[in-house]
Amino acid sequence: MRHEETIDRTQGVGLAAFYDRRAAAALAYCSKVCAPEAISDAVEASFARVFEGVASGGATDDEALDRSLRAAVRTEAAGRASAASPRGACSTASPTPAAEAHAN
Amino acid sequence: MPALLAARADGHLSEGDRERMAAHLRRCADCRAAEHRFDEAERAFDALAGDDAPALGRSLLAEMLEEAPLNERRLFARERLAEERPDWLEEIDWHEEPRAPQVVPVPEDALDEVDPPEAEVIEEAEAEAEPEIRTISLPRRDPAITDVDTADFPMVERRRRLRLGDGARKRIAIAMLVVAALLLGEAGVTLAWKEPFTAFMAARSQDDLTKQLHKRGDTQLSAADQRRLAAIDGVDARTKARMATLAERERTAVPEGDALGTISIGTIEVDDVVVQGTQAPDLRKGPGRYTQTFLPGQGKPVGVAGHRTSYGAPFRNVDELKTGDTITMKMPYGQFTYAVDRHRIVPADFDKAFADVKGETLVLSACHPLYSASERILVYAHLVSSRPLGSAPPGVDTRALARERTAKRLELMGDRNLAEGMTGDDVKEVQRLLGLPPTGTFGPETSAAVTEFQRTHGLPPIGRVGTQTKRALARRPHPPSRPPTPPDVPQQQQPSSNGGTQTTPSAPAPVQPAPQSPRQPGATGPGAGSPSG
Repeated sequence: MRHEETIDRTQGVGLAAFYDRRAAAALAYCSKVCAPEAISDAVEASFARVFEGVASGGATDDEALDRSLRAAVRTEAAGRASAASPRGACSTASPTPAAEAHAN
Repeated sequence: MPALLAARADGHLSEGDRERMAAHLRRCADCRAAEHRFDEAERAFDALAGDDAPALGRSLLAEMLEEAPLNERRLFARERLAEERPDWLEEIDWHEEPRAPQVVPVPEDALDEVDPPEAEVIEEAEAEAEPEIRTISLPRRDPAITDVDTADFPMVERRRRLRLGDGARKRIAIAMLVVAALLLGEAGVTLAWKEPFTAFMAARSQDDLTKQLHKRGDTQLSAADQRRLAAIDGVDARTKARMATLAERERTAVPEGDALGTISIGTIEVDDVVVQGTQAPDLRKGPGRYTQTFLPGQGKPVGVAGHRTSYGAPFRNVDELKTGDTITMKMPYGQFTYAVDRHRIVPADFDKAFADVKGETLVLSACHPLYSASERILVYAHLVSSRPLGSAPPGVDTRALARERTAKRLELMGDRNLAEGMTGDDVKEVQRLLGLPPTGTFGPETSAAVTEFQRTHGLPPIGRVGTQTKRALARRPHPPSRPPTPPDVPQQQQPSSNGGTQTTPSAPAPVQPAPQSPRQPGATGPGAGSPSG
């Protein structure tokens, strides 16, 4: 991996503060989706993606960082998702062309 | 499926792919479970991503970086972040301790009956940025197996894992405990009340929908509709036709997710704005109307679905509705009251909820049992009454309405002359028109009120009700909305003109008719055209 771009001091401090604010949210997300042993990896990889995006010239405003982190957390957590079921693969248990609303 | 769920959440799926995915999710319980986990994760993220979210602290990251082997990402972090040396990065010791080659321990008893094979490190990880890959040969107790060339044994690859120091572990443990406590708290609140985060979001949506409903105002009829309605004979028929016309316009013109009207169910404390549609985004705002059904006033089935656990859980207690309980739907063009007939529990894939109902029947739908979507509960209610709301219907003859109302009142007051001591429904109607409590007994208070009414309407103040007084009463635009103040002076008996006795106040009773509504006689509005006027 080559990174020709750089992060200046202001951006570095801003990213650190961003990590402070959002680490709990990312951890909560990953803890819901990931296998237990992969949670911390997923959180770290998500922030790494965000940092890489900034280094590549991505926007650094809060809204853009939030968007970037949300997408990164989804991707990294999906890659480390625990098995969907004991069977390990999805089943077509029952055809349920049910009422439109899954109103639970 | 997880990757697809993430792509869908990011909006990277085409419409066709989303539909195929939705079809698969309907069929596949496992993937629905995965989708549920992702939804929960999204909510958890939202809950902790606010400005007041708990901060885990940069030292956690610092320790994670310090303790972990350096891979490419950490190298990147080291090179790009550390070169600027913000204060927090100074905590990190970037130098990694040289590690001794790792040897896989072999159990003692594994070596008893065979030549002691050593766990052999075939390949050592060299580059610190590369994952460590080692191949080992495993000892076996069975002598037969020992004859096999070890090269035939499967390769076992081990990846170096992130190893955390005690401090980092402690912090992560605390963070996990905090998250667990939050999730447990949320689960407790959900069981006892409803899911709090989504309830908050639904409440905000309901506020917006209420404003939207008020802003929209009355639906106006087109000139063609006005001419068509004006040609209809009979006030009731014309009023119903007006409501049906306006309902059809609302049904087809209001976009999905927008406010349609309100639904109120007193017995289970429901008072929500109903939106158009029953897709997931619609139901997050509040109860939604099935688009294949109709609106109140159209004389056809009206289907409304709502959540029972999340997003405000408007239909949480829908299973507690009993026969006869009333449900009110208030639309911009009219208010409709339904009475519950029955419940029905059906499978989740039941698709004939509206097929076997006739006429204007309200069908409420929700998941069943609570906290599950395995079945559906349907509540059927029939229309009891309706009244038009909004501006006066064009083409309605307001004078005819006034005449009908006067005739109805005269009919209720009957033919006999009414005097003190008499009882009956005709007395009740007189009392109602005078703004008195309708006891049905012509007592001194009624007599006093009649006298005052006669005095203020240019009639002989005799305290009895004859034809002229009945006509005057029947022509009143509206009866007083509250009973007149009873006389606060002692009453005395006076001989009446017909030889009997009559109770009258010693001074003119302070009977003040309540302020009259500015509405014109016969104006259409709540209650117009009804006997109560």
